[in-house]
Order: sequence, then C-alpha cells, then structure tokens
Amino acid sequence: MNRITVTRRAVQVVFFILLMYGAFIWPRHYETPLPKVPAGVPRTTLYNRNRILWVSGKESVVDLYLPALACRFTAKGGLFKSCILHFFSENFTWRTSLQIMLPHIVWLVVLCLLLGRFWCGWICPMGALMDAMTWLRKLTRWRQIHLTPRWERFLFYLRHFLVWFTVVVSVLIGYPWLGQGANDALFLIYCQICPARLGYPPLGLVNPCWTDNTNSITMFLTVLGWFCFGLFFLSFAIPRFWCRICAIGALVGYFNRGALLTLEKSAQKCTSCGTCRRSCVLDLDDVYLERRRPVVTAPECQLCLTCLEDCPEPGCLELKFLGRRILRS
Amino acid sequence: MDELQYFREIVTTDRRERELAGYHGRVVGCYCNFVPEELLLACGAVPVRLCSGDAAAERAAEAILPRDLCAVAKSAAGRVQRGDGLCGRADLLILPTPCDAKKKLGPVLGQFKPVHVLDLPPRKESPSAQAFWKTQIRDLVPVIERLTGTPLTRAALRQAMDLINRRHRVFRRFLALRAADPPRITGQDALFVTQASFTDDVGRWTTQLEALCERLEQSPPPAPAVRPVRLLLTGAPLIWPNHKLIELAEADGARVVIDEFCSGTQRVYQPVELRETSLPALLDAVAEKCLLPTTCPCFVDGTDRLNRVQELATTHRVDGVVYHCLRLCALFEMEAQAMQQTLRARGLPMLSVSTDFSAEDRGQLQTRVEAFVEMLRG
Repeated sequence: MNRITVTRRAVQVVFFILLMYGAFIWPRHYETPLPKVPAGVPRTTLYNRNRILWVSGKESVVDLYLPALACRFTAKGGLFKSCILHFFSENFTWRTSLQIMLPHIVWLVVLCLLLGRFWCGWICPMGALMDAMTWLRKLTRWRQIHLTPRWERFLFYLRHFLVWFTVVVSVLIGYPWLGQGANDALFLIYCQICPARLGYPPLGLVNPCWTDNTNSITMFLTVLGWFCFGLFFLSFAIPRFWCRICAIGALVGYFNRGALLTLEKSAQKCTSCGTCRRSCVLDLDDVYLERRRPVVTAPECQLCLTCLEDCPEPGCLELKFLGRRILRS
Repeated sequence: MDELQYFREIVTTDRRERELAGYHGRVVGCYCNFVPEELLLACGAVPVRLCSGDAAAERAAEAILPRDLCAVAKSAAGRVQRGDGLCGRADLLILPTPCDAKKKLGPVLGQFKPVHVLDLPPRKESPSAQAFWKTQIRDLVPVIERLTGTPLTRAALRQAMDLINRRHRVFRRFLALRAADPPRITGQDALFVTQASFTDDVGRWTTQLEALCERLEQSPPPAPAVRPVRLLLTGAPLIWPNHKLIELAEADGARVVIDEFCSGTQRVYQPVELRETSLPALLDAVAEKCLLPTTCPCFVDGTDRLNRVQELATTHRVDGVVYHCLRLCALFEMEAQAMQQTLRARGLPMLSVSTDFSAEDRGQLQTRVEAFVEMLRG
C-alpha cells in the first residue's frame, strides 16, 4: 500500500538532510574567499556580511549546483553549492568567462534532461517542507483550497516572468550603468525574494538577516521577501503553493517534456475517471485530459507519481526512463 | 453452486423485499448508475436500484405513458405505478436525467412517490459541466438528510466510501476470473452477481462475492472439449428479467466473458479516490466517481466507450462483440456505427442486434446470434 509515497518520503528526508546539513556531515571548513576585485569591476562582486546577501562563511562540500533548491544560504553550506538559478544570476553578474561556466552548464543541463522536474518532486528540500505542511494540514483535518483557473494562469505568467527578469537583471547589473547603489541592491535579485533565503538559515539556527535598510531598493526587496516568505506558508492550505511561483522550477520545467524520465499514459486503458487529477497536488489536468500522445509530463509536473499510485487501471500510467518501464499503475 | 445461488435468489425472488419490509430506516430508490450510493449509506438510508427489465410492467405503464417509449423507462414507471416490491417500499426516488425519457419520467413517477431529479450535464469532460454536477450532488445532501433525519458527517461518508471501495476491490478480483481462459463463470451468472448489487446490502454482497471468488479460485478450472467462443456484450443494459440476449448468446457453448453494461460491469467497477478527506473533498470525489468514468451514450462524446470496449476486448481476449440496441433508445443505436468502424479497424467482428423486452423475436434473434457465433468459431 502506498509504496511510492513511502519511498518518496524517505528520499525527501534523506535529501533534506544532505542538502541542508551536508557540510556538517562532510565538513570542509574554510571561510568563503572574497572574490578578488579588479579595478573597474562593480562592487556587487563582494559579499558583505551585514548585507541581505549574507553568506554562511562556509563553502559547500561539492562545488556544484543542482536543479533543486540546494541553497547558498543554508546554515553552514550544504552538500552542493546552490540552485540552478543562483548559478546563472551570480555568474552573469560576475561576467564569469564561458570557459568556467561551460562545465557547470553542461552538468546542469544533463541533470535536467535526465530527470526533468523529478528534482522538484523528490529532491528539493523546499518541496519536502511544503509536503510536510500538507501532511500537518491533513492531520489537523483542515480542508484544501483550490486555486481558480484565473489565479493559476496569473501564477503561470508570474513564474516565467521571474525567470527571465532574474536573468536580464543579473546581466544588466554586471555593467556599471545603473549606478553602484542599484547594482549592489539588485545582486541575486531572485534569491532576495526566495523563501529559502529566509527559511533555510533558521533551520540551522542562524539568523538569516531579516532586514536590509541600505537604500530604498533593498528596503523594498526586504518587504517583498517577507511577503514571499508568507506566501510560502500558504502551502499549508494550497499544497506546494510556492512551487506555483518558483522560478527555479519554471526553469527546470523547460526541460520536462524532453527529459529521459517520462510519465506515459495509455489512452485506451484510461476510463476518464479523473482520479489522477484529484490526486495531483498541483491540480494538473494534463494526465486526465490527454487522449492522443503517450507522454503526459507537463512542464509543471513534478513526477511525484501520486497519480500513478492512485490510478485504478492496471498499466494505464507508466513511469519510463529512456523508454524502459520502471513503474506502472 | 451455493455461493452463486445466493445472487440468483437476491435477483429473482422477493427475499430483499421481505428483509426490507421489517426494516425501520429509509429506503431510497435509485435509477441509472449516477446516484451516489455512498451519500445514501452515510446518511443511514438503504439505496436500492429500481431499474427493471420487466415486460409486464412495461405493458402496464402504457396506461400512463406513450407507447413509443423505450422499454426501460416504461417498465420503471410501470413498477412504481403498480407499487411492485421494492418500488412500493421506497420512501424517495432519485432519478438522474440521462435521456429524454428519463427527464420526463420525473413528474410521472411523482404521481406515486416523492421524486428527486438529479440533472445530468450533456457532456462530462468540460469544467463547467463538472462544476454543475458537483452542485447537483451537494444539493442532494440536504434532501437525504431531511429524509433520514441523520446529518451527513465526514466520518460516516468516509466509512461508506471505504465500504464501496471494498466492494470494488473484490469485484476486480471477480473480473480476473472472467478473464481466465476458459472463463470460470458464465456471463449470465456474472450478470446475476452484478445485478444482485442493485438491491442487496453492500457489505453482505461483498462478503458473498469474496466467498464466491474463493470458491471459484479453488475449484479446478473447467476443461471444455472445445474452446468456447469468447464474446463481449455492450450497448443498452440487460436488466433482470430481460436476460434474453445473454441466454441466447451463451446457448450453444459461447461464453460472454465480459459485459460493458451500466447494469453489469460498470455498476461496481469504479473505486473512489480518498487522498483529500475533508467533507467537501469527499463529496467532490464521490460526484466525480459517479459521472466521469461512465460510458453512457447520453453524453456528447462517445470516445470513452469506444476505448473501454477495445480495452476490455484486449484484456479478456474476446473473439467478437455483440452490441445490444434497445428499440426506441436512439442513443445506443446512434453510437453503434462508430463502434462497428472502430472494432472493424482492429479486426474484431461485431454483431448489432436491435430488440426489446418482448419474447416475440426470440427465434429470429437466436438465428442471428447463432450464425455470428458459428462464424467466429469457423
């Protein structure tokens, strides 16, 4: 009974510990080296301890990024360095040479193409936290809230806007045109509103630097960050609510349809009973509606496989890797 | 076999009527497959499905209904008019509106019994239609609560859903026995099993079917001299006592290994999803379960039934399909052609027969069905 869910919970707990407390398990204690700043390069290249972009002072064990919310701002650094969006925003701003970036990009693209948004459903510690909130809600018998299609559409545009806004801003502030204050304030702009930046450090008993009153932009972003942190807790009523805004997920989602790990449906076996849609934590109806193409992994699908687990028709839904069946309903 | 005899007794005798005569709670008569039994059970009412294939009741109903009306609607009205058996016992009738006949049956039945009409949307896949249907189910709750005097609670509904899911699980086990080669049970006996669930107590029916499955699984498989022709029966529902077509189809050694009737397999096939367990979520789950997987031709899009028949033909290794058109039911007849084309494309022969409850065309039907089975055998 519920073998998939039990396995998934176990995987989530393991990765939560690894990605949040990895540096405690495999200590690699050295202070974050401040990047050397050549003349003429904007000050955004500096980490400032007292600024909102406070960094733990300990580096990650593995100097690689992940397409899930492994985060720079965990208490003592994690097993991995940070998330995929952090990689792009910091390196675009630093104008890192392609030679250094390329291995990272290849690594990230390979991870995305292998598993798609399986990263979100099974690995991401933020996802695990939100699932824990859903579990708490069910325990206390609160009812689930469903977003209206209008809200879903708004959040769709919002998260894709956030991806490209972050990329564009990160590139622009690598040049001194905006002026020093703005450049400083807009560094890692997505991180500044990401609930992980405020949420992860307290989980390691570290102050996340709640406010930054350097200038009006940082104050605005501080308030926006609080607001998003509040939105994160909406996941109590709306399962995985932040996933519907998360720009990292949206970015990984671009690879979901082409990924080697796919969820496939046999239209003939389907009785249209709608169980897959009812059990979907993200209220996706792609699996329910699809009648022609076998692959049903929508860009939003996190391959959590609750639909596959609940589907009453044997063999109707299948999880495949490179065309080879791994699981079936 | 004793286990089978139980189901025959429930369907063919007045045993259930006698049991419910001494019952002090409410009995709710339902039609079609769209009424959420879970809801009735949770409020302490006994759901009984009153659809009928009674030819005498059909003729009796011609006093209050036009003659050119489908036999299912007429015999349902006839039984209520005469106060037959459980129709007399029922405290409320719940009538969904899949077709024109059922739509206009409400006021007719209303002359004899309180009737609650459950409006069905014309298609089931659109979000607005589903929202409408969920409202219909939510509006049904106070009606039942008033009838039984028991408010609907989350715990009671959950319990009823667990009961229905237990029934579904044992039924799937039973279906596997029909898929076996050679099949462990005749199609008509299987129809008795599913139609006993119309009126029987859900828990008792489930226990009895578990016993039957146990018995069938343990007894040695039948070893017929020739491999029986395996048939699939679909189309308009065959309801006791109108088992004419299935009797004829199985008369000379063929076996109906699966049917796709709303009065047969569909009736107890579907489980209900239980991931969210707040009361509104449970109600929605029940509503969706009653609407979405049904393959009634009353809906605009008939793709689901085409898929369903093909899938059942594959899993039950079927040699041919018999399509039952009920005279004066345009819906099933209009879908017959699409079914024929789809099955032909898969190399599966289909026989379409049009008949009603009367015994007059028995000889003619027998000739056609025999010829079809002979063709499949050859």
